[in-house]
Amino acid sequence: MIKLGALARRFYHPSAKEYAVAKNLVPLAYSKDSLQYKVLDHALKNNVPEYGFNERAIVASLTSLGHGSSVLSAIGASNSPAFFNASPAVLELAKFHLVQKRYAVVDNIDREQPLPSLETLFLRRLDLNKPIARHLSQLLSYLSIPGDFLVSSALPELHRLSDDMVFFSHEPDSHDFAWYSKRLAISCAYVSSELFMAQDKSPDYHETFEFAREKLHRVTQLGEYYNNTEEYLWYTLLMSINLVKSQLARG
Amino acid sequence: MKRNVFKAAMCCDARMLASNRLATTQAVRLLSSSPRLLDDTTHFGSKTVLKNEKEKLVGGVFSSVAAKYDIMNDVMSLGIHRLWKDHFINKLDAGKRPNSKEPLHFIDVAGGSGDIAFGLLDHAETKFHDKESTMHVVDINPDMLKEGEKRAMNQGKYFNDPRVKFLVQNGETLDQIESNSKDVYTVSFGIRNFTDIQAGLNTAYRVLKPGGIFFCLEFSKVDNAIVDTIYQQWSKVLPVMGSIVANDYDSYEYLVESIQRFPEPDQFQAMIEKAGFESAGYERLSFGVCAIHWGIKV
Repeated sequence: MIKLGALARRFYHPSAKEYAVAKNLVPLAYSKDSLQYKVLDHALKNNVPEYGFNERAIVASLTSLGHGSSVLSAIGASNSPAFFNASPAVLELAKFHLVQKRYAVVDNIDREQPLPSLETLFLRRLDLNKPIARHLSQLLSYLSIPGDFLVSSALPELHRLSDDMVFFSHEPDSHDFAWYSKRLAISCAYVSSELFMAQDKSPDYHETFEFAREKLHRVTQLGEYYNNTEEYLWYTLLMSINLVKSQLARG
Repeated sequence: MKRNVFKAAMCCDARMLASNRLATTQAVRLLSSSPRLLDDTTHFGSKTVLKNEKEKLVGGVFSSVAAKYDIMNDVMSLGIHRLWKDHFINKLDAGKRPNSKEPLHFIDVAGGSGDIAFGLLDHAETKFHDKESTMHVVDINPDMLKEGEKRAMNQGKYFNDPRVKFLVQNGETLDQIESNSKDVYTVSFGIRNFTDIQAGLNTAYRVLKPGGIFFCLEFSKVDNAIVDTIYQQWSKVLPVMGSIVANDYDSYEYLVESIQRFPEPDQFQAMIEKAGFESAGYERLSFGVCAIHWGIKV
């Protein structure tokens, strides 16, 4: 019976269930069971909260996993060395953090069930920052230094995050220019919340979450302003055209 | 054949070099005009030669360019080769970290002139205070290796140093290097001269420890049409400049042709993966004139 069902499905269109799920978290170049993934995952869980985003954290993980320093070169291979920025391996650690956390936010979402709100996902992503919150300013400085890493990794990753948050929430999406402005506004709100979190000394970062809610509320309000303005301009345009038409029709 | 290589080592005399070159040229012409195009042939520049001859012919080329290798590189690449090598070393960013236990064991294949080998050790020392890691500088050509030793002697560093060993070795076999003994395998502007590139990659995989990295700097294919046009014209001038600066037209003609013969970056990446390496990738430098390839032994 099950087999028959599968056959019937195949007649309509290729089914996603018949394909193997990709092993690596795009854009990371290595799969989940690769050496690089294991080392970076170990470092992020065990050593980054203590040492921060630097080589020391990676080397400590390498030592406890029984590897030598040469793996550092392997980890950093896909990044270019930058004169003003951290070493390629450290940049890879920062990239790994961004990508892994982005996947973690939407990990348990069942698309059959009602989707969570944008705010839930937004706060869940900030919540994942808690273990490394002490080192956020260091991380943000790596991510914001102008250069190849900013253009090829940091900014695209930020926009993938806001895109994922809109896509996996019950937030209505638009098909015009508002598609871009919405993502841009959410990205801005997210970065400012992270900057706030880097300086936040309140217990359990509750001020950060308050700040984030407020920011997100403003984004929604901005969206309303945007829609109202758009509607008003559209109305004025049509009305002007009709006015001109009517004047011309009079002869 | 070994005897031939050692013979080349003995001849530091310019006249001997010239006669060696003449023999090389004659051998190439002889073989390229012969109708044999069987499985035992390979490329020597744009010519087809017997596989067991290529090693000798390449030996002839590098024996004759050894003394003026550096100045010629500067002229040929307008000094950019220094930037490429610098980028290569910084990207690899290798060295024993202060809180790491094991020193690294490097091997620099076809690294006779020593610039990558010394550069890597200097980088490890200045950045990580690493004075323990060891280096094997390996080249099939004793003349090139002598250039490297001479340079080490002149700079007063890495000469007679127990950390640095110079060895005459064929990169395809590396028979004096133990399996699973190296952490970092580098080859810069050398792998295209191998008779059998795949055999060289397989050997790289053999000598590396698990967790070791293969890093290769090599000429590649230019991906921009405008730059490519300029580059092709520049390639035509190179042998002429070779004849002016180093009085050697044929060797530089070979260099240009061997660059054109080298596989495309994607194809070379597939070869690296075929040898067993994982997470293989490449980065183009200067519009693809050069490329850095890497692979990890897991």
